[in-house]
Parts: sequence; structure tokens; C-alpha cells
Amino acid sequence: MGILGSARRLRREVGRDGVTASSHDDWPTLHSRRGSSLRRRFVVAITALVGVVLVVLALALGLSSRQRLQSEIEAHARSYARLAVGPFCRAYETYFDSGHSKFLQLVDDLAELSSDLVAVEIYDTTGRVLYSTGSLRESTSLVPVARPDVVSEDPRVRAAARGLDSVAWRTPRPVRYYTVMEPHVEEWGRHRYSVAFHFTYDSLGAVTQAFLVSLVVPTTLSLGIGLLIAILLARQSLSPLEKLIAGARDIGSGRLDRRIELTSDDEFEDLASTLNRMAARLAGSIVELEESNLALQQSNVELKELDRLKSDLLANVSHELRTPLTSMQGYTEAMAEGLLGPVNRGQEEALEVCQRNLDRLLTMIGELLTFSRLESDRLAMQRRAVDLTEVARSTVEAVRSARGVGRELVESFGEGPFVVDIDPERIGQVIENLLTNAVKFTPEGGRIELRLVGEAETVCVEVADQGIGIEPLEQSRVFDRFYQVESSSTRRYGGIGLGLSIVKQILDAHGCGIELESQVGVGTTFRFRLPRAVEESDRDLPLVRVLVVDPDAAFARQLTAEIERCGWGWRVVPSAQAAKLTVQEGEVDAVILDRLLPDGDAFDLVREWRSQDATRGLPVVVVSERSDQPVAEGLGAIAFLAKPVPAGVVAKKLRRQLEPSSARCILLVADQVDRELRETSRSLRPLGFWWRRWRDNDSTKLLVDGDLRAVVLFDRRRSPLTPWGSVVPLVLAASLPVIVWADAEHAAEVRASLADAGIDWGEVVSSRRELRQRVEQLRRTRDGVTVWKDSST
Amino acid sequence: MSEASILVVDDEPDVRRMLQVILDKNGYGVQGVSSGLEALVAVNEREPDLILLDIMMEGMDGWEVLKLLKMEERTRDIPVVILSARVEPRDKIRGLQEGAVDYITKPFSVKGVLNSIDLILNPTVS
Ligand SMILES: [Mg+2]
Repeated sequence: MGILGSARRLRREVGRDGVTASSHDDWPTLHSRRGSSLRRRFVVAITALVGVVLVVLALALGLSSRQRLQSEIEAHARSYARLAVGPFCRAYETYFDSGHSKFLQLVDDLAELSSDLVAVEIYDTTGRVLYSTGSLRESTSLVPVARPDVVSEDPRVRAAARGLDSVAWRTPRPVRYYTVMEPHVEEWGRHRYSVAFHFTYDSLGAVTQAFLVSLVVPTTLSLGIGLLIAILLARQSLSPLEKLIAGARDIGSGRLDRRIELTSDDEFEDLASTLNRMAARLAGSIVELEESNLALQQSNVELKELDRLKSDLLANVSHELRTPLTSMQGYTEAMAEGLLGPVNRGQEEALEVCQRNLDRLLTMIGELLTFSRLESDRLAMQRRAVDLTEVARSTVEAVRSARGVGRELVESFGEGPFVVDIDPERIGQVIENLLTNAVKFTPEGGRIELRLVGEAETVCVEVADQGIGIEPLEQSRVFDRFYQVESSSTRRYGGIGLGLSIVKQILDAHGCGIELESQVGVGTTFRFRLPRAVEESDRDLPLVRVLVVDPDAAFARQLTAEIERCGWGWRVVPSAQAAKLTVQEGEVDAVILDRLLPDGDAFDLVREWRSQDATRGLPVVVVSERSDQPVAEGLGAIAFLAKPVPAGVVAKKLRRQLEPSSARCILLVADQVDRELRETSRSLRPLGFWWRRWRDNDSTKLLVDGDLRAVVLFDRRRSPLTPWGSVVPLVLAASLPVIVWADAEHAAEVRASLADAGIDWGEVVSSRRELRQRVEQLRRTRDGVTVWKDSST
Repeated sequence: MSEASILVVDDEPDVRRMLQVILDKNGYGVQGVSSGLEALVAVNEREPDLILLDIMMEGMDGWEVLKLLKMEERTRDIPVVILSARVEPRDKIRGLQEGAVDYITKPFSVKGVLNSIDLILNPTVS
């Protein structure tokens, strides 16, 4: 079922041709978000890489050219100083004191020659400032200003002024200028002056700035181009991935014939071909599943057909065997009953023999049929908790009256109760076969004992006889079919040798074994053990309740026993007043009423009930003197009974009313009848149906004999198959309409378990109203409108 | 009350004869036929009060007869009791579902058949 189910489900999804609504909703959003983010990340990464590389390059370029520029400025400064020191000193010497303006003119001209020069100072060899130009030009850098006639405080200056070498140094930030101290050595080698030239780096800043500005445009351009390339690259390298996603989505949504075509000659192509292979294999396995599904269905159909043929054959053989017995049985019975004229004593005896032998023949045919059914597993065990004492006692009774003549049949039951989990009819048959067997081999006057012995988890059943016994060698073969201890025993003891084999089969089906102890000439004991039943906890409500109104307790007991046998509930009240109250409570389906009540006349009560709407249709049976009959019938009693009432009559009268034979019966299989269910079944009664609770002993019979119209399975415990597992085969055989009443939320589950059980025509209802509708449909079926599946096939 | 008429349909001459004799002794008017077709002809001529119907018959079997009877407006209400040697539960269920009033298996108890007929023809509750 699991495989078939999943294959079916898979096929269903595949068959939906393409994308289902839900998967369509899920996919594209996921897809588009993922795709775009991946592409964006790709582009951003590439662009950032290009940007970083460009910036680093530009910085490196800028730094190196700045360095180069700076040393160029400094080299220039040094050669200027070397060239200009002479003219400066000569101008100072010649014109400083006489013709000062000429001196200033010369200084200005000399200063003009270098654009970076910002100040010039002339020192003597002690480091005393002889002359300072002050700031020569507007400069962004601060210019050192030395005061004339003061010895410089700077030791570098004093040292340079003394020395004969040219010295240069950089004054660091924030002043930032370059100083070259150049000694002036006169032609004859005399050193009187040194000149300090101060140069600014301002041009360096301007050049760097210009350089940077010139870099912006190409950088931006390259970035843009990089971006473009990145986008193109992303699109190109991601397109196989997008194809893959689209293909996988199609395959995922069930289009298994979809193939992804990709020739990118890389890992994507590998992935695509892997996906394609997977889709192909999936498609292949679905085809296989469908085929095996079909094959299974086929063989299932064949098996069913075979089973049907077999049971048809069985039915036909049984039919052929029974037919000739019909007229024999009919005539024999008719003669014995004197229907065909008076019979004398001799004839009567002969007829009795005929009858007895006919019975035997019928039993044998029945045995054959039962055996064949057991062989083909067609007889399902209807196990339930029963008191084994009852089964044993009634079986002994049956055997005693039928064949036990001349042998002593002893019941020896231990301390009960013996509540066991068995199919009571089948176990009854086991006991009957064993007893019959014992009777057969026990000589007249012998003693046969049926023993029940309670054990911890089982009840031990023993059938002991004082028969001829069985040879040890033959003991293992007695359960073989058609086996008889002696070949002549068929003639001597009768039977066709199936009895013990049926015993074994039935016990096997219960999971019990059977042992035998035997001593030739002393007797044989058969022994088997039946499992005790688990306690049945709750007693549930009867579907029909009958109120007995009678002060005579003994008579009431007789009535209630009959009511119980019908499977109904009862309540006994002794007075008219109590009866009135009980009926008012509305829990009463019928009343049995004694005319003479201690607190009044029952007829007044009937009159009162008939005058009220709620109780007008209440079935009432009156028990009284014969002379009261006309009055009672006039009042609308459904039946009148005169005391003493023969056994069985009351139940019969009530049954006609409560379970009219013109209506059909709905079999109710319920784990427990609660108030709602009871109310529902009562409310549906006016539709012309009567309800029978599934009680294993009589329900099988009901399925066989009864006017079953439908089966309603009621399940409160949400365990769909447990309470009615044993009913299903019978329902299947009968092709009866099945209605399951289950909670709405469990409907699907219940439907599935019905299908598993092979019932594909069941209806699941989940409310009283729905149930009513279904039952009304059933009523229409009776009127000629076929609503249900044709059950004749 | 005039005597009720019963139509016995059975292809087995012995069974038919036996039923005729017994029913006759019990004061019913009996007509016996040996096939489904004859049964329909007989019903067409005169509607009986009740039909005892065999299932396994040559030619038209009891199922067909029952179906045809239930299809016809005029014959739908004639109570049919099936007497058959087919004892399978599903046959019984089928018979009752198709409208038979009772399904008695062969070999039957004569008393049982008479009881059933009596119950159908003389319902005590109206
Ligand atoms: Mg026949």
C-alpha cells in the first residue's frame, strides 16, 4: 500500500502538468531575489577591486612624483645657492653701505631668479645676521625672519656660518621650508660671509594638487568601464546558473521530460547533466511504479476472481447436496407431524429414524462446507469476550439432547468466571465436535466429562471420555482430515472424519494448540487452552429501552429476561405514578403495562399518554384479563396479552412494533453507544428503519438472516478499524452500504482505512444531520430509486 | 376469509409436489410451476397472494424472476419467499436486498415455512 500510495501521489502531482499553484508562488520570488543578489555581489566585487587597484596606483604614482619633485626643488635650490652666493656677497660688500637702493635692486633681481626662494640672510662667520631680506613673496609657508645684528640662536646656523662647506636642511612641518647655507669664499681664499637661502615647497603642493585633479577623470572613467565589464562578466558567467535554476524548477514541479541544455564546458555543464540524469531516472522509476501498480492490481483482480470461483464452487456443491434432501426432509416432517394422515406407532418410529439420519447427513454436509471455508480462510473468527461457561453449558445441552443417549455427560466447571476472548460459535463447534467424538467412541453407559479449569491467563478446557482410546502411533494423525482410527470405523462409528480436523483448524485460528492423552481401552482426553479476555470496562447504553410496569416481581423478571434476549434495555417500576415520571423523562421506547396497579388503573395512564403529542405513538402492551381486550385495543394498545403470558410472546409483539419487518434493519457497529448515538438512532426510527446493535453472537446471524439495509459504523474513539475489524469481511461479502460516522477532522483518515479494508463505497458522515440525509437516501432506495452502488455484482 | 393462493416455483418436481401437498393440507390454494418463465406467465394470469421461489433453475433463474416481479408495478407488492439450497450469507443478503420477504434455506423445516407464510399473510399488527 505504501509504495502504491506514494506512486499514485507522485503520478498525480506529475499529471498536473507543470507547475502547481503553490509551487508557482514559492519559486519566482526565491529565484529572482537570489539571482539578482548574486549578480549584484559579483558586480560590486569586481568594481570595488578595480577601484581599489586604481586608488592604490594613483597614490603610489602621486607619492613617487612628489618625492621626485621635492628633490628636484632641493637640487635646484642648492645650485641656485651656489651660483647666487657670490653675487649676493659682492652686492653686499659693494653697495650695502653706499648705494643701498642699488643693493636692494640687485637682491631683488637675484631673488627673481628662483621662484621658490622666500628669504635670504647674510651672516658673518660668527653667525651674526648682517642682512635679512625678510619675506620675499607671499607664501603659504611661514618664512623665518632673522633680526639684523643679532647672533642667530640656531646652532646649525652658527656652525654653518663658521664652516666652509655648503650645508642644507629641511625645516619640518609646520614651517616646511628648505634652507641652504652657502659660505662665500673670496678669490684669495678669505671667508667673511655665509648666506642662508630659504626655499618654500609651495610649488610642490600645487603640482601635487594638479596631478591629483588630472587623475580624477581617468579614474572615474576606468571605474565606469570596470563596472560595465563586471556586469557583462556577471551576466555571462551567471547565465548557465540561471538556466540550471529554471530547469531544476521545471523538473521539481513535475515536468520530468524537461532537459537542461548547457554547453559551457565547466562545472555548470556537469551539474546540468547530473540533473538531467536524475530527471530521467525519476521518470523511469515512476513508469516502473505505475507498471508494478498495474500488475499488482491485475493480480489482485485475478486473486479475487479465483476466490470467487472457489466459493461459487463450494456453494454449488453444497447446493447440489442439499437439494435432494429437501423433499425427504419435508415429507418426513410432514408425516411425523401427521399432516399427511394419521401415523401408527411403528411408522412414527421409522420416521424418527429417518429424521435422525437426515440430521446427520445435513451435519456432515455442513461440516464439509465449514471445513472447506476454513481451508480457504473464508471463515473469519468473530472474537469477543464471552463467558465460556455459557458456551460450554449450551453445547453440552445440545449434544445431550441430540446424541448423548445412554452416556453420562458430566460438566465439571472450576471456579469461574471464565471470560475468554474467542469466537463463541466456533469454540462451541469445537466443544461440540469433541463431545460428539467422545460419544461416538464411548460405549453405552460410559462417562464423558467436560472440564473447565481456570489458569492465570488462560482457561483450560478438557474433554475426557472412557472410549476405546487411540494407539500412540496414531495419536498424531487423528487431526488429519478424513482420518479415522480404523478404516472400518467409518462404518462402525459414522462420520466422515472431519470433526477433529475442524477442531484443530478453529483452534489454530485462535492461536491455540490442542493436546491429547490417550490409553487404549481406558479413554482419551483432549485438552486446549483459551486466552482470558481483557476486562471490558464500560457498559454502554442499549438502543431500545422498555419500561415494565408491574407490581408482580416474578412476572416482571420473566419479561425482562425476554427483553434482554432481544438486546434491549429495561426498567421495572411497580406503580402508575413511577411509570408516568419515567415516560416523562423521555428515555422510554415501549411500555409493558399491567392493568392492575397499586395506585390506579393502567388504562387511565394509556388514555393520558394517547392524549399527549409526545407520547401518542408510544407502543404499549397491556397485560390483563381477557375481558379487557376490547377496551385496551380501543385505547390504542398495540397488543393485548392475557395472563399467564406464554414465554416469547411479549418480545414478539414488541419486536413487531419496534423492529417492524416491513422496514429494513440498519446494523450499528459502535465501540460504545452513548446518549447522542442513542438519540440519533431513535430519531431515525420514524424513517422506517430499525437499528440493531452489533452484538457478535446475533449479528453474524443478522447479516445472514436479517433484512440488513446498511451498516453504520460509529467511531468515537478515533480508531477507525479497531471496533469493527471483524465486521468488515462480512460487510464486504454482503456489499452492504456502509456509513461511517466519524469526526469531520478524521473523515479522511477513516475513508483511507475503509479503502484499505477494501470498502470503496463507504460514506463518511460527521453529523447527525448528514446521517439523517444518508438514511433518507436509503429509504428512497427501497422505493425503487437506486442510490447506492449496485450490490448484485 | 377465502383461501389464500400460493405459487410454488421450483424446478425439482419432488420438492414442488411436496410443497403442494403440504400447503394444500394446510388450506392454501397452491399452484406449482417448474420454471421462471412459467412463473411469470402464471403471475400474469392471476396474481397469487404469495410466491415461494426457488433460485437455482434452468433457464430463467429465481434472481431474474424476482427482479422482473419487483420491476412490474402490478406484481411488486406480492410477497416473495425464497426457498433455496444456497446457504451462503451473500445469497441471503442479496435475496433480501432485492425485495424478498424471507429467505429459507433448503432443506427446510415444514413448520418453519408454514410459520413464515402465516406471518406474512396474516400480520397481526395492522
Ligand atoms: Mg432448484
